[in-house]
Parts: sequence; C-alpha cells; structure tokens
Amino acid sequence: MTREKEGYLFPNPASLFRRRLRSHFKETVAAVRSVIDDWTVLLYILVPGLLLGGRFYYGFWKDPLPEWAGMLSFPAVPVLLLIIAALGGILLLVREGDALFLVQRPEWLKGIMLRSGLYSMAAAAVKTLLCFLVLLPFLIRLFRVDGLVAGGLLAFTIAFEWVLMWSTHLVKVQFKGLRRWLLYVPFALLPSAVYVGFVLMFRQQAPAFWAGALALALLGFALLKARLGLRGTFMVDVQEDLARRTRLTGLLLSQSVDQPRRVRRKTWIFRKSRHVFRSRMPAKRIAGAMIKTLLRHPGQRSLYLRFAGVSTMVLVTLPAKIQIVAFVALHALIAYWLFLQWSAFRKDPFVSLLPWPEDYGMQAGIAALQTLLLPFSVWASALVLFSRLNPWLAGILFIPLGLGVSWAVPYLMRMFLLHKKM
Amino acid sequence: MDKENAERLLLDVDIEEAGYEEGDPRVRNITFRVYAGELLGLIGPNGAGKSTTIKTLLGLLKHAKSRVSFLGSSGRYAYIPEQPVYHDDLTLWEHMDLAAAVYGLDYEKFCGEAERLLRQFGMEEVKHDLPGGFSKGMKQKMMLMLGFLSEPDVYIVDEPFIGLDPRATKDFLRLLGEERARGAAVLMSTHVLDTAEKICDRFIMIAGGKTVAEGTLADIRDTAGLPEASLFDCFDSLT
Repeated sequence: MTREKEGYLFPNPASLFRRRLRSHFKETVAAVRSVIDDWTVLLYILVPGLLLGGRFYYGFWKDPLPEWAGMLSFPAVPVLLLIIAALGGILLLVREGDALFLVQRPEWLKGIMLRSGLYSMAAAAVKTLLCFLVLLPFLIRLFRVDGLVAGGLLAFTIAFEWVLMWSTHLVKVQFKGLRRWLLYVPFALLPSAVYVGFVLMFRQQAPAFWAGALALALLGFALLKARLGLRGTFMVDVQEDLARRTRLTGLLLSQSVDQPRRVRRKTWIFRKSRHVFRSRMPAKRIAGAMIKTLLRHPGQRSLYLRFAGVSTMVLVTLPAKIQIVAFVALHALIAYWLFLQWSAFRKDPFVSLLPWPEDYGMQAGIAALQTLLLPFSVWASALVLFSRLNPWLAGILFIPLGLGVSWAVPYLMRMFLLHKKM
Repeated sequence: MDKENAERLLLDVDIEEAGYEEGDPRVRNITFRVYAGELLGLIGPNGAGKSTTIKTLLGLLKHAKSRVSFLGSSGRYAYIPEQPVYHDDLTLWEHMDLAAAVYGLDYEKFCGEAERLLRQFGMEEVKHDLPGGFSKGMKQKMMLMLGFLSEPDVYIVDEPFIGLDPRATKDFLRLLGEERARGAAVLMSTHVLDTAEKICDRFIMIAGGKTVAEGTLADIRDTAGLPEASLFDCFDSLT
C-alpha cells in the first residue's frame, strides 16, 4: 500500500469488495431474521424441523430406503442436479453510486467484479455440494454409484453450473426482450440438455466426469475473463445485481407485498394499442383500458389462470349435486375479485387524476367485468355440462350458458355491493 | 389577457388553512382568482406551500378548510403534475385514449387532436410504447399532452419546465398561449423565474405558508420596494 493510500477506509478494490460482501451478508441475515426473529418460530418450527430433517438424513444412510425411492430411476438424478445448478447466479456487487467515481477507474471495477465472480462461483459450489450430499445416499445405495464416480459427478455438476451461470449472465446483461429469450436456447437450454445426456451416457465412468469437470471449469474461468472484458453494461449490471441481492427479501415478502416490476417498453398483449371492443363509446374504451391493465399485469394474469386451474380440479372432482353449488360459488369468488380489480383501477394514481364520469362509469365497470368473466364462465360451463349431459347437447349449450352467466353475474354482484361505487 | 376574457372568472380559491396532518396547517389564508385567458404564476421558495396549495385546490388533502370553485362552462380542469403519473400497463396512446374517454370527447376529434399533439411534441414514434421505458423528459411531455387533450377551462401546472428540452419548452409555451387565447385560465407553479417574468400576467408569491406578495410585476416590485428590479431580485428580497 502506497503512503498516499494509508489511512483510507478502502485503499484498494479488495477492501471495498470485502465491505460490500459484509453488507450483503448483513442484509441477508436481516431478511432471514425478520421471519425467524420470533423465538416461537425458532422453538416450534425451525429447531424441530432441523432435528427431523437430520433424523431423516441419518435414516437415508442407515435404514432401509423409503418406498417412493424405488420409483426413482437414474435419469431423475441429472434432472434434479440440473435444477439445483440452474438456481445459481452471479452477484457482482456493483452499485448505482459507482457511476459517480468507480466507473472511471476500470481496475477498481474489475477488481470488485473479479472477486465477486469468484465468490459467486464458490457460493454456487457450496450450495450444490450441500444438495448433492442430500442426494448421495440414494446415489450410493439405490444406483450403486461408487465414490470416485460420485465425486466426479459432483465436480462435473459444479463446473457445469459455473458455465451455466456465466453464459446466462452474459446473455442477460447484453441483450433484452425476445433476443435474450432466443439466445437462452443455445446458451442455456442446449448446454443443459447436453449435461443431462452426458451424465446418462457416462454414468459409471469417473474419468469422463473428471475430464468433463476440468474442461468445463476452464471454460467457466474463460467466461469470467470474458465478463471482465465487457464494456457498456454498467446500468444493466446494477439492475441485475439489485434484483439478485434482493431475491431473498422478495421471496420472504412475496406473500405480503407485490414484487417490483421490471421496466418494460413494449407490450405483447394488444400490441399497437389495439382496442378491446369494436365500439368507440367512452364506456367501452374505459372498460378496454381496465381489461388491458389486468391482462398485461403478470401477477393478475397468473392469478386468473391459477384460479381457473383450481376451479377445474374442483368442478371435475365434485359429485353432481355439489357441482352446481361450486359453480355458483366459484363465479361469486372470481366476480368479487374482478370487482376489486376494477376498484383498484379506479383508484390508480393516474386514473384518479381524471374526473370520473359517474354516468357511464358504471357501464364501463359492468362491461369490463362481463368481458373478463367470459373465458372463465365458458370454461366452467363446459366442465359442468360435459360431465352431466351427453356430449352433443353439452357442446350446444356450454357457450350460451357461459355467455349468460358472465352477463348476469356482474349485475348480481352490483346489487349486493350497492354501497360501493363503480 | 384581453379585456373580454378578464371579466370571466374561472377559478376562485380561498384556503383558510390546509395541511397533511390534523392541527398542523402548512398554508394559511391563501386567496386568489384566475380569470379567462390569464396566466397566474404561483412562486415561492422550496417548502413555501406551493404544492400544498395545489393539492388543496385539487381536493387531495383531507385536512383542509377551503372553498375552491371551478367556474368554467365545462367545469373541466387539467392538472399537470411535477412528477409524471402514469399506469405501468397502458401505452402512451392508451393513456390519451382513456383520458379522452373519461372526458367524454368525441372519438374522431380525439384521434386528430392526439396525433397533432404527438407530432408537436415529437412523440409519434413511441405512441404504442409503455411509459415506464420513457426518459424523464418524455414522461413530462406525456403529462403535458394529456393536459392539453381535454381543452379544459383551467390548467393547473406544477413545475412544467423541469426535464423539457428547449424545443419542447417552446412548444409548451406556444400551446399554452393558444389555450389562453381560447379563453383558458392557467395557474402555474414554477421556480424558473426569468421565464415566469416573461409569460405570467400576475403572480402570487408564497413563503412560510402565507402570501407575501401578489399582483403584476409592478405590484410585486412595489411590495418589495425595488422599482425596476427583476422578479428574481424581488423574490430574493421578499422570501
């Protein structure tokens, strides 16, 4: 350290990296503590859970393997390992504030990225090792894999994970939109298929695994070097890094808070601002706007589809008499949810700036609810009618029934919710 | 502002007190009127109460004792906020379409007017894009276009120049001039005093939640005791 740097808190990239890594650990611990800080969680859930898990793991080694283990075939092993490998990711520990000073000093930025990259690879290796240890009793006792082969498989998986992490990272920070997804095919999907194929082909050949591990490890380090040589990706690096660092917090808060959404420029649904309805009346255009906001919101769209999926299982498995009750109840549930979405749309910061038209505001709400309810109603009607009537009759009636139900339910909902404005 | 327009009162504001919490008013005794064709500049230092005043007359504050009257024939007013407000899942065109639908504008007329505004502000290429990906200036332009779309009686504009390039600033001032000629009243809050001095008919200067001066530039100079001084110098003296 030169004399001029003595006394500085962060005299070199290594010290700044260590500080940022410590901050990252502190944030992670704080996020976990927010969930298990309550001693009752520790006492009643975590500690017993760990003890039980430990007993099970001991049992996998010493006791007869469980019955379900007999249903596993060896191809499940590389698939499971692939899923574990795919969970790895690169953390570069770059910050938005680095744009002020650090970005002008490439040796500093590279120094932080290099150390962060190596840390990410080490963390991925530890994570994969721990998961591999859980699988190990099954590999050895069920699939008769010897120690050298198991070790080779572990090394090969870790090295493959490094390559996958870097190749997907390089695609992510350099491309966006459709191009990014298309490039995942040759840089993520194909290598994954090759990994599974390689493991299946050389399942008992330790030298193949070790040689493959060495080759992939060298490739991994080459990709790390390529990453350090990239230019012009700073803002994307910051964005991706923030997403990565807050993943755990996001997961812990996912039940109570919506995930912040990525900034998008284009939409795939109703591209070129196409109208939902043919009519250009104001009520229909307002309804169309609300429908688009729901369909374009990934969370809302997913919830609608998941509700439809669960409803399918409910309607298909229930006996005939209860099916009708369930049909009505499910419609009431989804209609109420759609009504809440309409209310949320009305209270949206942008919409609330506009003077809401009381006269045709309700017409717009009814039109939006009827349209959004229609796919669910037609599907649910088909499920109920095809299970109760002969196929020809059901085929004729399910669409009119769906149309009728989707038309009527919003009006009925409106009657029950008189005190709420539409 | 011509004589004919001057007689038509479009915005009458009388704020006794208003604030964000019970018992903690941020502004007191703010009273002003804006007439057809007039541009009233609402000026003051940071924290003076300009935004609180605007939120009060928009009815956004719970704790407010005020009387606000929009007296135009259509009753329509447009608020152009300082921070752009938009919906993440609607394109620029859809924002304009929704605003036009809510205002009850004729669809064909809306299409023509919207295309004209998009050309004027250089936003034609991005009309089918989501505003989340816009730059700060583009978002600001979007707010301005949405305001102009409805041809309201009253414009309430909060810091319109921030983020606008010189061409957009010129276009905005020209459009504002056209609206004033049409008879719209404008209340504009701004820190850009040299521009305000050139374009505003009258001013209301706020500091510490109270009115410290109001009237034309000559009136402000008299209040400040600085004849021939610029608005900036009067502002500096009075606040």
